[in-house]
Amino acid sequence: MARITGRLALGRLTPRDLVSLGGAVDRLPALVDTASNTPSLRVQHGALAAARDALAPLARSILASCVEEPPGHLREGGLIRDGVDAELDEARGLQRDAGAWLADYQSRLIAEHDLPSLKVGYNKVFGYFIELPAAQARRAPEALTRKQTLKNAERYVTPELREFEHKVTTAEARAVQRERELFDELVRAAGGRVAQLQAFSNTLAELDALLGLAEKARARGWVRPEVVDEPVLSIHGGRHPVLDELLEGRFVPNDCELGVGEAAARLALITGPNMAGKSTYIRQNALLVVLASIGSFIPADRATIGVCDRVFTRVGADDALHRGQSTFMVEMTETAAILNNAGPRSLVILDEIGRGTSTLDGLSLAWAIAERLAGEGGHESGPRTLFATHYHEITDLEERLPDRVRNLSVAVREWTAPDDEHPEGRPEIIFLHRILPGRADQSYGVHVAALAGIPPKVTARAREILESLSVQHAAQIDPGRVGQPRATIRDEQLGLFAPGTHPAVERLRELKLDAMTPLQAFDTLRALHEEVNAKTGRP
Amino acid sequence: MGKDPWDTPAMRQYRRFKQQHPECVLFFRMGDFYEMFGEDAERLAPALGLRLSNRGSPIPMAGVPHHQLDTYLRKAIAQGFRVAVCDQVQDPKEAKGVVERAVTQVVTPGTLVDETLLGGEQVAALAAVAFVGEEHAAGAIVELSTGALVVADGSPGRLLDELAQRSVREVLFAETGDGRTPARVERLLEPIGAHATPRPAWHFRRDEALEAVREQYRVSGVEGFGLSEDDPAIGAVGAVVRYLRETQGVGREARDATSGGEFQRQTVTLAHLRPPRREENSRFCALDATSLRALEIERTIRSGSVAGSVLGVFLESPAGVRSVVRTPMGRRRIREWLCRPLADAACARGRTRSRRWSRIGPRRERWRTCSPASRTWHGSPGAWRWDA
Repeated sequence: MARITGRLALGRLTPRDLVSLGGAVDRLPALVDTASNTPSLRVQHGALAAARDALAPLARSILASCVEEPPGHLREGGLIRDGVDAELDEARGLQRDAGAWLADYQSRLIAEHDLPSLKVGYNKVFGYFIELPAAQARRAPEALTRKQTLKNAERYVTPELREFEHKVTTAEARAVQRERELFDELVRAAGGRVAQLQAFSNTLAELDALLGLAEKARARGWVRPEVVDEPVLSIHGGRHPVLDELLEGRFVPNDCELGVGEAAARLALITGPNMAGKSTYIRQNALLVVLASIGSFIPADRATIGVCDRVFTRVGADDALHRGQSTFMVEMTETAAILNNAGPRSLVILDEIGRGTSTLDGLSLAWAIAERLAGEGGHESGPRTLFATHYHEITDLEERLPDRVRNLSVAVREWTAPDDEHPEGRPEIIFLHRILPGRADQSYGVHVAALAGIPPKVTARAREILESLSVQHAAQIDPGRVGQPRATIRDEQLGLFAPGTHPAVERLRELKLDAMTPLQAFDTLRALHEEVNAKTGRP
Repeated sequence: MGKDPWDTPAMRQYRRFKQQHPECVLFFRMGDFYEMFGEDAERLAPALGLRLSNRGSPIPMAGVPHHQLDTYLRKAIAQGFRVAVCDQVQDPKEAKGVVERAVTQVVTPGTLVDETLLGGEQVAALAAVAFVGEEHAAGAIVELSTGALVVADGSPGRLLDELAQRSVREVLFAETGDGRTPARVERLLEPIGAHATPRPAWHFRRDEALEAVREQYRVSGVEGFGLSEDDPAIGAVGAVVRYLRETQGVGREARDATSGGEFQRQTVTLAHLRPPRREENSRFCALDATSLRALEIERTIRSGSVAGSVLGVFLESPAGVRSVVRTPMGRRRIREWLCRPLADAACARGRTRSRRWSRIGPRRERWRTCSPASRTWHGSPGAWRWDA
């Protein structure tokens, strides 16, 4: 409808468009009836009734004039019904009677000249002709003018046949011409109703879309979310709208709570192995927010969803679209946009931030970004944020900012599978796809690698390396000491601040700065400096 | 040799049309073919898989059979070309000398309306953008097939989101001296895969823009549209209106879409173009271009298909089952809603309320049975449709 109206105004309406238009308008009264019986469609009912009144005469004339199955074009006519227009009927009558006249003419010639094999025929190149087999050609009467010689036949015309041909072809052209005029008349009439047609199609689009949402909700058992203006997000038994349909009920529902209640956390840190469903979980919640915000029901048991002013997403790099920029640069550009623009009513979805650079860089960045989004610095509350990460060190934020950050993890069950090569069995994991409170203690990357088909020798070696590295790593990174924001942490200092390793650190910690004079402070600093340099062997 | 091959009567006519549409490739009807010449032929032949020939003349040429016009138009448009279709508007038998021709259709990526070029659920919008410094951009976005015209402005990033949400395929901008697309325009195009169309800078100037708007809407001022004459968006609105009037040939004779290449006339009015409307942005949730893509709202990342996206949940259905949204315009509306969620809880609740599905659901079927069209809903040829 909307498009047909557009083509109408652009002078590109087809006969089929015109009849569709008439048909759609013709169904308006029935629609108006239905809408009038439905109180919740009061607005639409008014619009439809107005459209009906304005467009009914147009529809009547279109449907009265045009056939039900119109041709795609008017080159050969065929749009206008018989009995609509006298001139058109007359022209068509001539064409229709042509067959009878020809049969009559043929039998007249046969009788007159005693030529039983004489035929009157037609082809596209020569038009109408009289044909005689070669054997009888000698007996052809004078009145016949020879036109064409075939292998075993001769073709002729007569003045009478010529005249007939002329009458038929002009009748044809006249009919097409007349149809064209009648079509143009109807198009002009419709052209004067563009605004009303637009209003009508707009209402129809809205109705169809609303009913589509409704039918989906009914078919899939979706529920109506409570949509509110407060920045909360509380979903119970939420499912991913696309995957839920694909997996036919095998999708594991999950809850999500952000900003609910007094001083409630608005940033959820989700940790757990890759492939376990972190990404699905955070996307799913974003999608449920979108669905609720368009006025749809959602796949969940129950939900209270606060609308958002903006939704930001930073998930998996999509390199094809950013030729010439490194993955990491894209990631940081998008993250910058989020940090600069996300407000208290926004929703932020972050997946594996910091993945594109070295572990330490990535961890530090992810950490700082999480702190910022959690609203540390205290001025205002941050956006609702779902932050999936494999840096489980960050989960310590929950302790430091208990009213702002909440840890979630993907449930995983470990078990030992029997294995011929390893008498003690082979560790395996099962993904339960369930999100639980709390942090994940390790990242299971090696397990996932094994699942993906990395040869057992390689994964076994990886496990060894991991174990030895983990020991060193733990000694290096002590999240508890990362401290408040703005503390500068440099790689080489991590060793220095590791727990209980250096007496200078202990002494530094015990200093009472308020009770010291500047001179005392400087002397202490010099002493510490010398002590540290002596230990590390620097001058 | 001696004679300039471009200086024949037919080629003079060709060059005249080419001058009128310098930004377009010209499909020049000659007998049963639409021919391209010179540079057009050299650019289009490889793009469309045509053979480049010169038929004994030094001018390279390539042609497409007239009955396959739509196929080749589709191909050319998909690659970002703009095409002016030049038809014979006189019966060659009646012609003395060169047959009379006219440009009867200009097709560009952002101005598709014919069903053969733009499927019922597809949306192809056109936008004009104007910058106020580096930090502020204004845009006018129009969907020609339905006539909706929306004004948006804000930071370039904000405008990009808007272009993405509204499926913009072609962006008009004020051309620069060096003939290149400015980087700030490029940044709007690339993420959404839209095509750039340079336009004379004066189209974007305030006075000329106002003139185009007044002429189109037959108004004396733009205040009635909620715009002030100094609005930064006026330039964009004027440019987009001027482009449409030019390409759609208001006052020009149109090629009847269905006459299979035969010339027929209908009047082009653009009457369906609605007045520019500034969308109240606080009412909508800004789903930025990245999120739109990453959340697979209207298409999947991997294959770009609707199936598998959130939109697909509403539009796709297993074989033999009707999709829950029945009409093409309803399907477009769902897409629009998904790309522009509401930021106002009361509005969203309003939509939920206007839909007591348990009550109207069953009645819905009656709507479909009240006309001959109910035989086939999404249209075998000739079936009545609510839209196309």
